[in-house]
Amino acid sequence: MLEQRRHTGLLVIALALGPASISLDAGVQARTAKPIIGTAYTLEARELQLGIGAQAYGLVDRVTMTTLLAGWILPAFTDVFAPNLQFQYRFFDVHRWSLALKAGASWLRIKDANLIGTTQQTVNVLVVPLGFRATNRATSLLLSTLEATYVAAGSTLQDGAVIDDFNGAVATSGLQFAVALEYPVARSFALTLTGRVIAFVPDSEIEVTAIVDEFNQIRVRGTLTAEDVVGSYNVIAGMAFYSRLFRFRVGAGYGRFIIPELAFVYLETGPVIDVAAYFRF
Amino acid sequence: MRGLFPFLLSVSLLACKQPLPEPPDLTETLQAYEEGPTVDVPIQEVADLVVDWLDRTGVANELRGAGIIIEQVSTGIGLGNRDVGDLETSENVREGIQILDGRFFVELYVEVTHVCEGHDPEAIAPDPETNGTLNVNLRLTESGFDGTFWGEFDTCRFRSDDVDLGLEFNEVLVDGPAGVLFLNPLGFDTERDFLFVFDGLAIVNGVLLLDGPLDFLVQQDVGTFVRLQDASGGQVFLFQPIDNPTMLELRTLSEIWQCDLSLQRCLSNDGTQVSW
Repeated sequence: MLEQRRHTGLLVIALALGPASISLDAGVQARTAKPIIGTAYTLEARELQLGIGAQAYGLVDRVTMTTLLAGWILPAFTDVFAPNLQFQYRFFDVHRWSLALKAGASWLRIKDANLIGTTQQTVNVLVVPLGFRATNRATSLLLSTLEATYVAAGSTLQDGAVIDDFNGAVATSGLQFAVALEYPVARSFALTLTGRVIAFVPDSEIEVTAIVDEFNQIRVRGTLTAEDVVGSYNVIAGMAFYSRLFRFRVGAGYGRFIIPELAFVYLETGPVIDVAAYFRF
Repeated sequence: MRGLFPFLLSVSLLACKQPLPEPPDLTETLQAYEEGPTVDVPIQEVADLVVDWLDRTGVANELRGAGIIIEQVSTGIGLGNRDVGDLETSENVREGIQILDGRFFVELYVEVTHVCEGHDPEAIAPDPETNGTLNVNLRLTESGFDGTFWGEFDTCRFRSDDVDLGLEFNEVLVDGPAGVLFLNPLGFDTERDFLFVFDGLAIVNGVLLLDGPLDFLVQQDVGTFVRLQDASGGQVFLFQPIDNPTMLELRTLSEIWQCDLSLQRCLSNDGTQVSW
């Protein structure tokens, strides 16, 4: 039953965060011919993109602000509240190349985490993704994006607790690489292929204090390394349908579900789906 | 939600490694037990040695007193004698080893701080200032638990309900560093053989039982060996068999003296008798 719940939760998140999970969204090309989220491109000033997944707004022509909607609505059906904001600055445009830097911050606040020692523990995790994207349109058809992102994550355990359940998901720092390809095969239809891998996870310092009762206290500290997280990957093949103001993408693949903006890695390897839909104004 | 975020790996933005405390090396002491007695005790000193040991305890058997100390150590680790709800700490630590192995774990240092209960049976609230504390540490590495607990009694006052000591209860005070080496490191419980090393003082009912180093080896199916480090210029051993608490053996280099505590006499291998 527990496993079933996990999968259900994963599916919900996959639906809501699809674009973040695979780092490719060619955006709405019809209006500006520029893909946006998941590429090095940015929205034009005061442009708005709304839908399932990352919401985006063009602060200026070269700076786009995005947020994962799911992070804000998670409390409605989970114990997680994850306000988040990301910025991407496109600093280079020459010929067919565009380069951009991205940075952001997420604050995961997880109530009643599965911890031992006390009840109703709240865990706060600060996630700061810093990344670089390079997008190239080598031909008039193929669009390719390469991405490198380092996700720094640090947590605080209020009142302390001993972590109990090491199964399931982790929020961890790490260096990730991603590639995204999109190849139009018809006027409003393209094939997509994305891949993401976590290439490096630093050792992590852990320090937890659990107040067992008024006579006893346990303090745990040490160095952890998420060896099992290194090498986590996903590969997703899909398709995108788009018009002037709307884009719908669906894909399926294999690997682990990864949300770099939230430093999230689901440790179970298996089928991964991606669904996204956007309107652009 | 537990299904989605069952575990949050605590990570640092700045991964500055803090050196973890090293456990004491108790293997030298263990080797001393493997080495066995190194000297003989002159016949005229046998009774004095046994009596001195018994006198030092101030009660019939200091081994039991040392057992109290061990009990406190295990209490600090297992937290088993207190009402701590459904928490079985040692079980969780053990589970952590298994689950962490090969996935996240590099090394972990666990420190248990136990506020001693004190002598007043009516006292409920913890009072570390008055009653002292017991710190017990252990370290887990990639290969698991190495079997060593170490820590310190910091003027730890507690009550012992050990009726074998002849009293309804005893007021115990222990102060000093201690270490426990489990000879079978797979378990945390005191049912396994272990070596206990202590250097400090122990007072029971106001009587100073121990002021200095003490180490002993408990073999659960056999009995307890106590090492006397400075007997006649070398080390000899006292052995308390588990099935006969009134018997005590003094094991020297070439003799085993069988001492009957109730008859207050010891017999050597060749029938030589000393009494007190």
